[in-house]
Amino acid sequence: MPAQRVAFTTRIYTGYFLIGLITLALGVIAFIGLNTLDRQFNLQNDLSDNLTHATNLGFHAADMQSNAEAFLLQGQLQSADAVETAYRSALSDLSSLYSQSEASIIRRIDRHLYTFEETFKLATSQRSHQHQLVKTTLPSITNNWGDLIEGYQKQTISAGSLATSNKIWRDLLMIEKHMGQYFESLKPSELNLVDENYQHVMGLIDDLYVLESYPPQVARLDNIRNSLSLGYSTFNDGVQITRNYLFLINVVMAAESYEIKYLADKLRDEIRRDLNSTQDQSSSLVSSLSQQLIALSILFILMTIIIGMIVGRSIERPISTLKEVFNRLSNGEREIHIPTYHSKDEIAELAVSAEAFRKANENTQILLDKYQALSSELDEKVKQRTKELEKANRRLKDLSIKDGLTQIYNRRFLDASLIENFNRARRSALPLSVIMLDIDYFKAYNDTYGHQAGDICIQRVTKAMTRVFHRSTDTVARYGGEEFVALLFDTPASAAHALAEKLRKEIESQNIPHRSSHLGHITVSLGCCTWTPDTEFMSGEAILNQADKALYQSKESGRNKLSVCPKKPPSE
Amino acid sequence: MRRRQFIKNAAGIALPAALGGFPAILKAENARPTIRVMGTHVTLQEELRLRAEKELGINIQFYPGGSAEVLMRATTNPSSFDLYEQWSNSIKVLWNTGAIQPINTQRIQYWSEINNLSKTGQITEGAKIGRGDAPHRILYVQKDKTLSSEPSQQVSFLPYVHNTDSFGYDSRYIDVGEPYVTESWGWLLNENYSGKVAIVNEPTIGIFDLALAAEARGLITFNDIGNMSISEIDQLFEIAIDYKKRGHFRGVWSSVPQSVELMANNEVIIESMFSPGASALQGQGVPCVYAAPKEGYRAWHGVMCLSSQTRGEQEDAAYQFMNWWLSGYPGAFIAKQGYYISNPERSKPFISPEEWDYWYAGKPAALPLKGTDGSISVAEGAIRTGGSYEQRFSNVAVWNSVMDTYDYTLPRWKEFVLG
Repeated sequence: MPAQRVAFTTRIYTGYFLIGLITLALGVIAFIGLNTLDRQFNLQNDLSDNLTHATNLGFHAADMQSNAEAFLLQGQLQSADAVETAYRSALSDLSSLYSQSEASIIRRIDRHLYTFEETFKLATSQRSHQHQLVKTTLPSITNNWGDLIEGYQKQTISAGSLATSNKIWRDLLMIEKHMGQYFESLKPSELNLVDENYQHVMGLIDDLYVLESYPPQVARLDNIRNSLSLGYSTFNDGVQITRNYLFLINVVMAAESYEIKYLADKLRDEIRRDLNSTQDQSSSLVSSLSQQLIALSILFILMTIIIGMIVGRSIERPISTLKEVFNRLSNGEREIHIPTYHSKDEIAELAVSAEAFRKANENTQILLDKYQALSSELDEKVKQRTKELEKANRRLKDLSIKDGLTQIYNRRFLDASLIENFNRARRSALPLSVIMLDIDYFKAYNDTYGHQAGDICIQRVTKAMTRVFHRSTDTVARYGGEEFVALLFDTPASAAHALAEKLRKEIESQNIPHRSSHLGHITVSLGCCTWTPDTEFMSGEAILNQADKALYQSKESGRNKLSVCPKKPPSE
Repeated sequence: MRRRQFIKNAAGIALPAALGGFPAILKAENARPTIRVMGTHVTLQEELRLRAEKELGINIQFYPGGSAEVLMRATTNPSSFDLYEQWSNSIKVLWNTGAIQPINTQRIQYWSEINNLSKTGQITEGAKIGRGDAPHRILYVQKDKTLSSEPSQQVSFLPYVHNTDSFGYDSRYIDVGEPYVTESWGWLLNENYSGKVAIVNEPTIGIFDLALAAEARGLITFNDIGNMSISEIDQLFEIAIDYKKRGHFRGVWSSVPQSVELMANNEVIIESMFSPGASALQGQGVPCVYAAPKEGYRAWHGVMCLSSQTRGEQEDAAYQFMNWWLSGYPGAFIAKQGYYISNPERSKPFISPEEWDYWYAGKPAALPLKGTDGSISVAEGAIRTGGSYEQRFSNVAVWNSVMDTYDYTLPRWKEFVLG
């Protein structure tokens, strides 16, 4: 368990703070992205506006030229205003374009617009000058020609002069007509016709001079020639001015408007290219922004989960560790490691509490152990005493029921046991055999070998008895002196007789020397009586008596033998 | 740039003069005759004006403007000027409208020194005579007030500045050709340069560039390229407009700076060009080659004309100014800008032998040569395309001309420009 040094609340707040930071980053990126996108869109709007302006500029240039032509060539007066309108629109479009980068193209367009406009003004003033010449000055001259010819003809007497002056009149009319037609149609061919007629009529006038000598008529011819010459030079002025503005419209303005249109189209194409690239940029920006936002959102979610888990686990783990600690403490465990937290927070305090708890628990346990130790010591002593007491009791009991010398039951126990065995046999209808035995010539043995040897002899006999009658249900007792009884429960007569015989042989086979016996060694005489349900012995005592009688019979008949009582007691 | 430089220099010259004797000049000015000179920027240069004023003791006012503009002003209002400086192709118009009066050659001090280029059309014996309004064809005033090559004591203009024009090309994109051998007007219609070609916007000039180009490519032949018929004009414009509509031409240019701008911006790689344009481009580091076409040059001749309305003191001052122009210095001055003067020998002492060799003799520059603005305009070892003065003017295909079909040409020109 790593030691935590940062406070619980700090960790939670740090978690929130980190998530907040990520959210902020997400927001900032989204904001920057949207801002960039917004700028891109604004740029696109600007470019798209500029595209419109540049496109319009091209149209305005064409309008300017075509309206200028309509005005200057066809004399459509309203077209002059249309030129102005188109020019102003072009300027306005151009000024809207000024903010953009194509400054050099814009400057060039501006220059060409200016030149066009200045040229148009010049052409307009020339045209109005021409108009003045053609509509006022020239007619004021040509209108005199009829009167001049008529004045001359009035005084003409020769047919030749008259005919020539008629030709002159006709030529003058032709000149006037072609002059008018030239200004009407602006056809160069009319110029040649005017020139031809002029040369012709001058020749005719020269012809008349030859014929004329009358000074007033010569003066009239002078007047005609001067007026014609004035008319011709006025016409030529008009032609020159017309040529000039034709030059302006066909050459200067055409080139300027073409240049404006060309540059505007170029600008338009460049703006369109910029626009397309901006649109491409925008769409790639949108896709990269959305990818970034998706990636960031995923990161945001992952970070939120990770931070949540880290913070949560950093809180949950010490708590669950401490819960475990408390559980174990409550179970009384003492070998518990309580983590140390350096975080100086509630968890750390809880750990301190757990440590205090553990210490208190440990003290309590130590006390408890002491008490337990004391208690078990007491128990042991009590047990010991009880054992001793039991032993004493058992000895007391043995002393009361057993024979001190032989450690087999005494006469008192035999009496009680006889009753108990008899009752049990009768209850269970099982046979009960009683064997009584007596050491043959024991008095003499005592006398011969002393009482101590007599005692040893008795002990050897009883040991043999306990060996033969070893079943738990068998009771072996000292009846008195050198007489012993065995009570054999659930032992039929035959078995009892066999056992009794076995015992007799056993003792005999021990070959305990007995000089005072005619047998030479210790022997026993036995009497056995067996109770069965079909016998008529009505008590244990009666059976014992019968066994005693049988013993007596054995004694009587030679000792070292077994005598058995009759099945039915002899009628008394 | 060049013009701005001139103004600066002019200010530099004017200031010390003013400090030297302010009251005297003011007084003198009031007593001096004043002449008004109308013309183009080619000859109306501030240095020349100041120098002439100083040397002649007269006041001179310059009214520079575009060719068409000054021509119109001159023809419709001859009293607005005393001298008119322009191109030989404006003579017919000026003469026919009575805007100018004959110049008396006896009052021209160096008349005899003026070479035969403008007198007979042949700079050397056997030289090819250019078509169109060659100066000698419109120089002499006849008794019947017409103009012809028949010598007389009255001339319609004073011959002075002249030069040949061709086309310029950017040698980064077009392999450098051999002058008079491979370089051809036909290059202007080479489809490989489609979209990168410009023509000078002047029907009396540009039409010859188109005509020479179309003829060089065998698309058309002219009976007389200097005097085309209506049907030839139609045929030529059919070709030109077809090329234009196919996007062959970037456009037309209306001024030398514009022609420079077009090539400097790489908008064109070959175009009609005037020699200052080619020099300016070379100065900017654009390797513009000024071609010497094998078909011959399109030449132009400057004309100085006397207003029909100028009389007395102004007329005298105008003759002074005309004589000054042929006195040597001005010819030397404009020689450094690549132009020729009609009596070069008189200008020779005013320039160094190296300058003479380079500008007139067609030899390599022995040392770096300075232009009129004081900066190096010709690097050492550089050589003028086209060779010597004589070689150049022996190869004139056509002179800038106002043909009889001029009026007919105008709307066709417009079609070409807008096509």
